[in-house]
Amino acid sequence: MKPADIMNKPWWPSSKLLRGESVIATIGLALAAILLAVMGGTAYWTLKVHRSTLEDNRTEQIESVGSVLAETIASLMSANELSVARKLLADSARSFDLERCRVLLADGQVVANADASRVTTSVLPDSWEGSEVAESQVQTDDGFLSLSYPLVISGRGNARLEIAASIKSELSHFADAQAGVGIIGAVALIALLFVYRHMRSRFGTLGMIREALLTYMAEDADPSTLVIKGTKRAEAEAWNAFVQENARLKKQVLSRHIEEFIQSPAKEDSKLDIAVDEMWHGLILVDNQCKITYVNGAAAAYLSKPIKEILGYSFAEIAGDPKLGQALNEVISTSGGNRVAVELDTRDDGAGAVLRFTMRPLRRGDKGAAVIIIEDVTQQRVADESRSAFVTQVTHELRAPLTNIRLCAETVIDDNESDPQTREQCLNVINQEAMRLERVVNDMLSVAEIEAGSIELKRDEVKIEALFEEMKIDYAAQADAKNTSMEFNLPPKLPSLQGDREKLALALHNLLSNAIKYTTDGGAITINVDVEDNKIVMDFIDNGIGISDEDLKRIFERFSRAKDPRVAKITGSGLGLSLAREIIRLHGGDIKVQSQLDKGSTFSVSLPVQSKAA
Amino acid sequence: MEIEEHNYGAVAVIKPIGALTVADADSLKAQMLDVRTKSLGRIVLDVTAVPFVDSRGLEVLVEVAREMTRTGQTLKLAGLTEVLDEVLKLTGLNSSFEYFEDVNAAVRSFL
Repeated sequence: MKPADIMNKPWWPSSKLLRGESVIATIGLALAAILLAVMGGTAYWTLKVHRSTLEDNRTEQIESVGSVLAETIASLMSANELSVARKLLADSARSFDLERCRVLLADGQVVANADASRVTTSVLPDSWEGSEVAESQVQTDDGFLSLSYPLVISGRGNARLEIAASIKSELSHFADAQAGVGIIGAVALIALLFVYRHMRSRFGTLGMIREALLTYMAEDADPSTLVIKGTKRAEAEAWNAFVQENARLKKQVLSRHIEEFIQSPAKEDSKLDIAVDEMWHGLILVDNQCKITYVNGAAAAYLSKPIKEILGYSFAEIAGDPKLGQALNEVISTSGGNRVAVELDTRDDGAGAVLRFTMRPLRRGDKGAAVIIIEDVTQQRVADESRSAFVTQVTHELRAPLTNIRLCAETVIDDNESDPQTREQCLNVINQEAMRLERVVNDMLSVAEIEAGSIELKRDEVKIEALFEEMKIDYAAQADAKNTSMEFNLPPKLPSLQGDREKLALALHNLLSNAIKYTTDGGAITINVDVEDNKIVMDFIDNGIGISDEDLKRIFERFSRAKDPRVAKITGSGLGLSLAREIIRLHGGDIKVQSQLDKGSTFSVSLPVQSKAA
Repeated sequence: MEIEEHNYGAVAVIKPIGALTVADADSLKAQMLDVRTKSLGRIVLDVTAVPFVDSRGLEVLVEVAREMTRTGQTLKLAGLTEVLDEVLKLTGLNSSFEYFEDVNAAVRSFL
């Protein structure tokens, strides 16, 4: 590492752990904790033993002093040397830091005391009462040692020497030891920090490698996540080189494997066979007996049989529909060279297809061999049918309001209607039908935009409660006309959405309009709005005619209308739900439906509060 | 990995959600081949929700594409993510498929 690199490295403690350093940090913290625990334990034990030793020594010292003092004072008092005995007592108390040091006669008089003010008799009596000779006594209480020695004063009587002193060691006595332990601890911690720093520098990369491997294994992630970034240490660079080399080798092996895989098929096929197999259209050749002599891959797929089960068989038998066999016979038996096209519709419940079989003689004017081209025109047919249905529905949707508008306008203008109530009714009808026309045209334009992929959302703040207020007013008359109740359950406060107000209004209008349309007279519609997991959830619940399971599968497809005969009597373009779902999805939400025939339907819309409107 | 299936008219759209790895690749292949047989090849693979593909996932896509090529069809991929695009380019497999910006564009290609 260059000196400049060392200078640039952050000094401990680092404000932020890099990837992989958590392992080193964990080890460092564990070591520091163990070190502190060992040092603390050692210091505690040492101080405890030292203190115990000091207390033992002090006890031994006081007992020795007491024994010598008892013997000496008994001799001095026997020799009537009371003043000398008193001085010895005072000196001893001072020298050996005795708390209490006194001589009591058997009758309780204090004849000598380290504290002279507590002496109760100034002279030693010739005799005194009480002749009991007590045993020597030793008593220890909370670090306080009390000793009592019997004295026999010759010719006078018995007495007792009492000594008491503290044997407790003050904590201040251990200050030096504590300071020493503290210094050693601090030095050890500093040493540990240096060791940690060194370990962090040396082993941090290993921690990063470990975490990269764990991430790779746990998240099933891209191998590029194994690359270590943010450090230029030799281990990291070596690891990155290893990962890159491994990825390169894997890609190489995969490419080779796939190349072999792609190049392996049908090497014996001629170029013409390969070219014909690449055709999207099916191609079949038949001889003059209508037996199949050639078939390409697409034709085999359209006929849902393997090639070997087609070659050599009669076309009529393979095709499975008599009109195809008849058409082929016609082509083969006539010399007109006319092309014959037959469409076969095998659609059933989403499966199957519409196949167009175009047949013509192999050479114009010849009888005999023929070529059959098969095209899948299912999607075109579905689109044609949908457009046809759409035109029919839209024509009806446009004609009905236009007729109403024309009739009302004629009533007002031509008949010179003077009754204000009738005029108002006519104008209301014209207004409502104009609004209905506007909605149909808007639906058509929106569908055209979605079809062309050119729909754009204008982002703005949308207040859902305001939208529902408008809807409540807009649909009140329609609901009243069907004697249907509408209940709006909104929370007191709803967050605003970011989205296209007009498009969202269109989607919600379609849902409410459908609920009213497909609910029988006297029904009930409930709209529940709530906020869950940062999403606004809106349930449109009706007790109308419901949707069958079969129709539910296609309910959101464009131009789709339920097969229920009751639905056929109700005007609708089959675009509303498809449009509503597209708009909701463009806002990052979704729409789901639950329904039971004759019991009603629930359409649930969820929109994220932070909408990802495109 | 979750696999959704929708019909857009006569076209079947398969939408895998999640990483396409060895764990799910074979079930996706089985479902795609089944749908492809039923729909006679009118199938689109919507890969907008596939963040990552491993080698087995790539193999499965190539196997299905190869099956379809034998019958003159092409596997149509819609909504390719950047990661998948890069993987297909790096492995040289990008020519095995047809690409479309979104599902609608892919479905329209059958018209």
